[in-house]
Amino acid sequence: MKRLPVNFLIGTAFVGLVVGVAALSLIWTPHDHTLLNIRSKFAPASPEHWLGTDQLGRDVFSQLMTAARNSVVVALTAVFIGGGIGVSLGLLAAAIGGLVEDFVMRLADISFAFPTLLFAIMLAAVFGPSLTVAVVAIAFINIPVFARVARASANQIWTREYVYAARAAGMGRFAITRDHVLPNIAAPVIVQATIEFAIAILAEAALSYLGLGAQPPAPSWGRMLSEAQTLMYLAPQLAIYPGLCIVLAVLGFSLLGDGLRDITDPRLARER
Amino acid sequence: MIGAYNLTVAFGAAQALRDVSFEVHPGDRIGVVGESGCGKTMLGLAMIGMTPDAAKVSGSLLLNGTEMVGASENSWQDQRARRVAMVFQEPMAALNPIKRIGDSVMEPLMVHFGLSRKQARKRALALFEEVAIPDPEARLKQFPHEVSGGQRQRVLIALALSCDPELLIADEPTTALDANVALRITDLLARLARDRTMALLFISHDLAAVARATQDMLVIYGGDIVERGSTADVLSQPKHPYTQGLLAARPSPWNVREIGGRRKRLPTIPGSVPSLANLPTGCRFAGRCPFEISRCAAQKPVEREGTICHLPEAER
Amino acid sequence: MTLLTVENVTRRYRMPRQALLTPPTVLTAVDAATFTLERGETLGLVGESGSGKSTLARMVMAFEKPDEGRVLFEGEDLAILPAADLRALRPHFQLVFQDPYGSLNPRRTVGWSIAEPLRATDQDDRALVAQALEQVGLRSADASKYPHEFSGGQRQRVAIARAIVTRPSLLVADEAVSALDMSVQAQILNLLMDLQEELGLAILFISHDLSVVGSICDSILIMEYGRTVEYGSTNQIMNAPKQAYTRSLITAAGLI
Repeated sequence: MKRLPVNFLIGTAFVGLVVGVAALSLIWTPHDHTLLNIRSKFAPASPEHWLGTDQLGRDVFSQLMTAARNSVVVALTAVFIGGGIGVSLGLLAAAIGGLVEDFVMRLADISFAFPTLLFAIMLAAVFGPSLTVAVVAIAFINIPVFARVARASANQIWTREYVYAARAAGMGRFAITRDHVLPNIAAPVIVQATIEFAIAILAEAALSYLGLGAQPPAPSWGRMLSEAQTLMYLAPQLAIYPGLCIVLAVLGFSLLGDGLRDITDPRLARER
Repeated sequence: MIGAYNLTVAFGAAQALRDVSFEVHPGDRIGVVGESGCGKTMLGLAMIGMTPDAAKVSGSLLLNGTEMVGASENSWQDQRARRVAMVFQEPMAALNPIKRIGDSVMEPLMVHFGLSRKQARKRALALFEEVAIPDPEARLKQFPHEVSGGQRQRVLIALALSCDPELLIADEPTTALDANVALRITDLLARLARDRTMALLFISHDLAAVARATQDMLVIYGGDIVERGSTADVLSQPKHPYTQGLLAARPSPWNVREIGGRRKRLPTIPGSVPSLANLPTGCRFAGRCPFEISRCAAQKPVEREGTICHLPEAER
Repeated sequence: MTLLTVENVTRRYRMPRQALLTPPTVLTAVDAATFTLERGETLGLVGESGSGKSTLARMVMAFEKPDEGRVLFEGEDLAILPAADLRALRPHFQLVFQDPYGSLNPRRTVGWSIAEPLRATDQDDRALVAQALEQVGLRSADASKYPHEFSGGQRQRVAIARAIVTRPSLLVADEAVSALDMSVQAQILNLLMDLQEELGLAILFISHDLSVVGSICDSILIMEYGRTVEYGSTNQIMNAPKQAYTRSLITAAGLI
């Protein structure tokens, strides 16, 4: 335990907190987050309402918990889908090489060219704003990132001697990718994934802030922020709480990714 | 005069070097021979004060009368380059790839001796000529990756010589080089030692290079000096069982097919070198020695006639 | 039928352009290399870095195709063989690398790596793996260990076990002992000689070290900058070298 870097430990703690709270919200929140109680709007923090209530009397803490669930689900789903597609493309490019590699990487570059927000707006215009739109948009921008990381790492593995040995043994490219390349690129891909989680959470918050993501009554940190904007002088805490949550989640994943990178890289060098 | 007396380098309970003693005088060319893990690199590092932080150095190391065991980094920095200099195995790794060769060589000269850029350049060119780098002026402007491995090694040797050291330690200087180039670098080092009356410690597992460049040699196994003597004597009439085994294991191009078409096998030393933690406490070679007797594993043999062994030669 | 015939094999690489309008330079890595290897024979391919010996080895192993000339293994031209036929032929010619640390997948057990050539042809016989381990001087119980649990010399034995598990007729050893200590080198060379006799292996032994090559090869081919400098029996090359370059290699190996 002593040898684990500090950033990894703090990151894991924060992420654990966020994910734990999100999971918990599925079975319990202090109050029903949709329960309106206009008479006790803008209530200050109390044993009844731990962080007080918002402009419609809804319990802020419960809203934050449920919003956590949305952020985590969107981030995980988007990164897994985008990562799954991206890594597959990267592995394919590295395994086949030549024109196929160029073509695949240019496809990835095209994805890169679309700014997330514009793409989300486009999707929202066609399909109507929703969580799904947010997921698809974020997944889309993850594809090129993972494709690049996977391809670069995979290309390195293809030059390793044990891969030549596998080729000499007669193994086909698919078998080699599955048996040799994939396990050996897991580390950089996982590190990239945790960093992408951080970005995805921020992206989801931004999209919801603009009204393009989670629609009411589904709560979202981003939308809580945008609603709180007009109330800044009345009840600034309504903007601070969701903001802090976003910071906690993004920082947590970033530190976790950082720590993972520290753990995997020097170990690799020491192994040899 | 530089002398090591009962020098020991330990990592916890494991000893990379044990009670190593020898003296180096100006103009001596001494080879240090052994396989990987025997401690020869650690010996070189100990003599320039660059052992890893985790290593504990004990015993005595005298550089012209100054005791260096336990010396501070500052005292070592005074001695390095001027008393002792070192050339390492990987010439590419030792030169900053984004700096021109000229800058890499001139800057230490300007810093250590306060030379102006012009003076440093003159000195650098003189050094390059001494190490036989062709077209030295052009080299100054080039980057490390633009020149061959052999040339880079010459540049590093020039750098090591820049402060006129009394002892030059060369740690596997030829391993990363082609055979022909290695030969020339080996000859260069020997010539420099003779011309400058500088001591040369030639650490290598390449017996052919050691044979060419040195007058005396030490054989190291498991952190002990198991044999020492003139290079000619040790290579032709080795006294220690390990040295004998090592020399016998050299592949011979004149392997003749015996009757029945069977090729002669090379004599080998059974087993493999144990890790530092698993070395026997007495004679390090116990467990692999064909002449082993009961006290070998537990009792360290005493040095006699240039070798350490419980059994005198006559009895083997 | 001659086991391996290399006929006028040439391989060129195009270097990146220096400037937009200058034509790219062409590097001839291997220039019209020609030799034959019969069953049970050993041929040493000797050269320094840049000599082209590794490129030639890659073409013999059909990792690359020659630009000119042919590589015939058991009569088949490897460059024009359809992929499926080439895969079926691979168990007959196998490879051992220089780096005992890099040639084994660190995340897989040694037994898994040794069985890889078998898996490629849909066999997976633990008995064959065990037998291969014993033949190289290790124990069959070692199959469940990981590469980092072995020393460099032992890892090289594992690599050799992998190379012989399919009973090939040709073994290509690319600097197979160069990264090993002298005493371990001798053990591995002895092992190769033993295996050659037991299995009737032909060995193409690539090395920069003439003394190593001279101790186990019947004939030697010396390369410099892609060209064949000299080619003949070990006896002739070592005792009566014709070319100055050959003599310089002999001197550099400390053999004069």
